[in-house]
Amino acid sequence: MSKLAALYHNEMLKLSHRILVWILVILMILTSFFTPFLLKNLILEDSGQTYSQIGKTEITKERDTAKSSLGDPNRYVEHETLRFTIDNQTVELFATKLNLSEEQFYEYERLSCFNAILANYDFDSYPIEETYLSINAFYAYRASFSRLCSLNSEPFSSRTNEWYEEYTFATKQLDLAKEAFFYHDYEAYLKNQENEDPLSELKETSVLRKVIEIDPEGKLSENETHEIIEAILLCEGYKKNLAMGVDDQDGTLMPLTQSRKTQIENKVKILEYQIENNCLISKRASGATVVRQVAQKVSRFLLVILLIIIAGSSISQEMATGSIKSLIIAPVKRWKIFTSKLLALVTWVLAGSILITLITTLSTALCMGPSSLPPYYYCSGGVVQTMPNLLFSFLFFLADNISLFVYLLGAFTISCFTRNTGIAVGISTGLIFCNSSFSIIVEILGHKRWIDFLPFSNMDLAGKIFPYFDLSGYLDAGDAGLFGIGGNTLSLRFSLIYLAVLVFILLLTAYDGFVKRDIP
Amino acid sequence: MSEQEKQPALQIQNVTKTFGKKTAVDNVSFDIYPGEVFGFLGPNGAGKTTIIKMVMGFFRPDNGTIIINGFNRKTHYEAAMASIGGIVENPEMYNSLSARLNLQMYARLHEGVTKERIDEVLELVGLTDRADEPVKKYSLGMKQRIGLAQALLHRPKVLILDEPTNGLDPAGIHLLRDILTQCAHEEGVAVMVSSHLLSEIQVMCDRIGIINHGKLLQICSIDDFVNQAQSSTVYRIKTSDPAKAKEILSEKYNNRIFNVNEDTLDIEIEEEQINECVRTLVASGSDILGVQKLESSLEEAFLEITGGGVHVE
Repeated sequence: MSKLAALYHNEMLKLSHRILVWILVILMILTSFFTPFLLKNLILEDSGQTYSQIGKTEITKERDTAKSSLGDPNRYVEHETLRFTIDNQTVELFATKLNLSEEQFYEYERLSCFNAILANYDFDSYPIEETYLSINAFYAYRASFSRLCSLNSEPFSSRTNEWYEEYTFATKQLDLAKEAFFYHDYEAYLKNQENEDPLSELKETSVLRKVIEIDPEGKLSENETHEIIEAILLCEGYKKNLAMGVDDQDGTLMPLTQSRKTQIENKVKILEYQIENNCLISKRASGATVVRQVAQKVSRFLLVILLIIIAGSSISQEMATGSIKSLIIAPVKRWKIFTSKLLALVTWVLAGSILITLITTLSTALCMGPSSLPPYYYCSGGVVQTMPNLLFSFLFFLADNISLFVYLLGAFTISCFTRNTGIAVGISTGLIFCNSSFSIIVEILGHKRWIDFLPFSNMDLAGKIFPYFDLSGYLDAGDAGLFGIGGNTLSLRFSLIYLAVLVFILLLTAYDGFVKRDIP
Repeated sequence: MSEQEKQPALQIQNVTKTFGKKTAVDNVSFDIYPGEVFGFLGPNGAGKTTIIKMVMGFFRPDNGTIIINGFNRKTHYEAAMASIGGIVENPEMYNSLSARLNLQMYARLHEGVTKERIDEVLELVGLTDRADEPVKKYSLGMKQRIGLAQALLHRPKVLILDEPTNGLDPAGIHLLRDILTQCAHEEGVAVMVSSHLLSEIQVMCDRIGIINHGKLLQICSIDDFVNQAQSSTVYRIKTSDPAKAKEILSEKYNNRIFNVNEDTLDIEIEEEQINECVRTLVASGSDILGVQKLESSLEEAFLEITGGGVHVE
């Protein structure tokens, strides 16, 4: 064992004296540090305004436009006509007399709407309520209005019973929305929506109720409100799939397996926990997480170059220069030399992953604020738990680098077997390129069973080991990585067994190539 | 000495190695004892390096046993290899590292090599002043020296040097010879030196083994070898008609006449026979213009044993 430690010590010493290693390490550090700063501007910045503030600003702006347009007497007259006709439900003049283009129609619709709502609206007596629901009612009012306008544009001759039904419905919606918006009485409005359109509107209504429940005073920002709505919708979607026994994986519908079922149930728990405790991953946080993750992956290109060279040359280069002699003559068994070189490689993968994670986290925290990096939420034993951001980010990156290690082992094996650095580095680099573009080939070929048995299909491990990564704002490996095929539905167990067999074969080949064969 | 001779430092027993169809080493057995310098002699491609590489762990023998310091290499690899040190072909180091660092790395793989010992061997091979330079700046001779330092570092019981004088300047060769003799005769190390240069072996070795075509042809002490070579000596006879002289002498010394030139012929005979030889020539009417004794018959003896040894295989 002490011999192995000594060999390992020597391996690390040799690597630390290679200039190329230092150049690449320095480049890697610089890339890790500066990439987040470059990417920062790509992330949407939160305006900081509450949703209601934005809604109110928008309404006020629209009202002013409407008022100024209405200042034009001709238009006002036209508009009056329009409004008049709506109130009396006789609008035949609208389409026939005014012969409007689509664009003009929209303009009239807008003017009428805002005039109807706001021209006579007494802001002092009835301040616009700054809640999501209030704004929603306003937009519903506008939508119903628009619907009525378009219904009215139909000539009498083509009006059927269905038309009257729809017309009645739209009118009712209009009244309810108006009521809700003007007098802040939402109960009837919500109830009506639930009753009238149980399938599609129900979802939105329950979302509305939840948002109101969480944020009764409209204090949350626009982005936060959106996050809640998205989370609720996602949660509803999962629940629906669970109820139907369907597994929706990136748009591919599959029967729900037991393990996936538990996973999705856990996802629902996590989402509910996040919604309840108001700890959803904010846009800013998920932006920061993605920035850091992309920075990790960009820096990893340099790590890949470095490690492919180390792995592909560790044995063949020593053979080429003859320095292997002093290892062979030494009283150490050959498998120990072999193992020490492998251990050195593993150390570099680990050290590289730690270094990149630390630096990218530091620089992301520097440019986006330390609070922008949220913890990882996961569900274990039915209880939602969190893992510190830095730790999870490292583990997730490391899990992504398992694939990298397999390729490095490939380079190492080819190096042992052919004893040629060029061949080893060339082939393994080619394979990595092949992997990163393999999803295109799969897309062209369609899914075939044999594709599952290619290494490329089994490299996407991080997302499978940490299935709740998306709920903490992380991107999938397939989305931004060198490894893995998007839309791959192979189970973690299959991939792990596959890779274990692959690693075993590679190790055996390398072992045979170096330990069993003669050294010339 | 007799006590030590019972226990050879290196035993090679019935070792065979084939590469594909070609048998590189064919059933070779020999022992090397502590305190002796064993010269391993053979033309290029004879199998010297193959045997050395098998002893040093580069090749696995197809057959046979290698025992180093009493340990079977196969079953007690690390114990056996701990008592061996040496240079195979050219010494190759980690070129970007300094000589001292190279030695430190090598020392780490052995037990009980101290920092002082590293300084000691550096001093011994005369590299103390340049020990901290990267090895790539070294000349071939300096690399040989650092290789020797590495070989001696852990005080091996068996020291194996493959063509060690390659690239050394005369001072280096002298130093090497001194070090080897000191190691063997004072510290009781078994030294094995391979070479294709007889003169080198002659001055360094106590015992030699001659190998060709993978077969060990002869093992004897260097004194026996020299005596054997000197027991028959080549004489160059100057005469006006060498062809006629050859005719006369061929009756008796048929196979020993060669190099018949315009006015000389060479004959290999024992010292006592030259008198009779000259007498025969004179009696038959040949004129003798001169008789010269030629030196360096070792080379011829070597060539004779190895069957010419001109063909590289």
